[in-house]
Amino acid sequence: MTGRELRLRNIKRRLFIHVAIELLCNVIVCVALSLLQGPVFAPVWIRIAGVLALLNFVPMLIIECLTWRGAKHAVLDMWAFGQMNFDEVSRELAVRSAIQVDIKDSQPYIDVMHEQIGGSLAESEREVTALIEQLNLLNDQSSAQMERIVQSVESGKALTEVTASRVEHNNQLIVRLESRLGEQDSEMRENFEQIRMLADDVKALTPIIEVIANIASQTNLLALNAEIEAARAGDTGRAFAVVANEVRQLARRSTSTAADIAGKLNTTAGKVTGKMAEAQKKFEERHDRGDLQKLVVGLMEMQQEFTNSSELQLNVISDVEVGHQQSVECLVEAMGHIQFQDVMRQRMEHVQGAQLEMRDHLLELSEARDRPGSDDLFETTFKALLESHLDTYRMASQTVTHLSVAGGASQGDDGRPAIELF
Amino acid sequence: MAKTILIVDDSATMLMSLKSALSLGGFQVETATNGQVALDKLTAGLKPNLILTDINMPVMGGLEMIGKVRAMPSCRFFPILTLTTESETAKRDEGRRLGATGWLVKPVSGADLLKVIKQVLPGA
Repeated sequence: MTGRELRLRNIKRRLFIHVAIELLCNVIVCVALSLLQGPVFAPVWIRIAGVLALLNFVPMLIIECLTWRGAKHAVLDMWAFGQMNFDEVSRELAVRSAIQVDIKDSQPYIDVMHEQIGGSLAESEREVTALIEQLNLLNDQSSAQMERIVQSVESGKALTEVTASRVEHNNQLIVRLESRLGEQDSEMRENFEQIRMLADDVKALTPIIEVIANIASQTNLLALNAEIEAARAGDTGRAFAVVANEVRQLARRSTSTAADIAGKLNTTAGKVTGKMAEAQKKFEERHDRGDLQKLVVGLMEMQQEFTNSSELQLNVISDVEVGHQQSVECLVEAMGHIQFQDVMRQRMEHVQGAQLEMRDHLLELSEARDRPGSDDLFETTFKALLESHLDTYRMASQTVTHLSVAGGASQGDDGRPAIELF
Repeated sequence: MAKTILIVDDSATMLMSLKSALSLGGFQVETATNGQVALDKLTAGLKPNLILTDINMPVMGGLEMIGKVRAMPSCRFFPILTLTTESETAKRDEGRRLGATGWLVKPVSGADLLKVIKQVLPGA
């Protein structure tokens, strides 16, 4: 048996003797009182003995147990201390002193960490605020862009409608123009026909001119014969010869004039016919209907292209509207998620408060050895501080985290939903 | 005409994010940084169609504000929703007793928030 066990056995024996003497004294007192008063009062003294046991012996027993526990710890500590040599004692004291200093130095450490958290929270708030501003700006720009697209499409639709109206109007004009050109064609052809008939009439004059020329020729022959006969007649025929000569000259002039007229008529008829043919050719070329048809087709194609373009624009704007609406919904969701910053801020503020509590408690611990009569009595302990947090949490998630680490039963929130309408 | 919602919260990020989300939802939004500021705005003549308030705020908290708002004759009937990290049952019950219409525990998704608001705000 070691010296320490021997010492503990002696303390235990002393305490046992203590209890035994106490019990014996109580019994002796009761027996003596019973003998002095006689058997009549025996039941009374038995009760008195019970009361004495309750008031005296049981508390005594409890005190002795506590004394035994304290003495045991003291002997163990003292024995451990007593086993140390001088160097070990010195080292132990130095370690304790260093721990005390280090605990004091934890104060600025905790303060720095406290400020770091505070700074991070402020920075996250600034950044999240900037993020919200940027998201709002993005949404404003997107909305403005959307507005511009809508206006552009409205303008396009108006332009298409105007163009369609103009094309329709042009079609009507073309129809009227075609009709008018048709009428002009008929008139021109009638005019051409009349000119051709006129030219034919002019050509028809040529045989008449030839008849006149023949008559003039025959007249010339007759006048020549008359002149010959007048010459035969002598002086009596001289006057007739003059007449015959005049007639012959007249016939000659008639022949010449007839030839001249025939030539001019032929020239005129030829020119009229040539000019008319030329005019007809140009008329036909100028009034080629193919050009008008091409114009009509071009206008119709342009109208169709405008219609297709308008439909395409409407489809595009419809897609853009759907996309914009989805963007808005995403933005609303994003704004909802930003609540995490407020949740995190409140949790971190709670941690900051706990840090200050820890700092103050460590300070108290570091000063405990210097405080007279402090022994092992502190105003609070880490265990008590930790338990006190359960009453200060605002969020169920805080309580869940606490209990998952420290253990314990959850008080819960009675299963009430996150969204509750009364 | 757009309905007006008064948001009461001491967090700048909450005020901004809620204002943006509700504006995108088609609401007119007014803000106050605590219960006292909200009361001052109501006294000055602001007539919101709904109040969305935090609970734990400096100067005047949400529960005290709800009690005082409900005591104002012109503010007895429009809905008041709380949006808070506070999940304690006793505070919920107190909020209900003071006249809150509903209790929403942060974080609440944007879609759910708009859904609840449209539920308690007919015609929104």
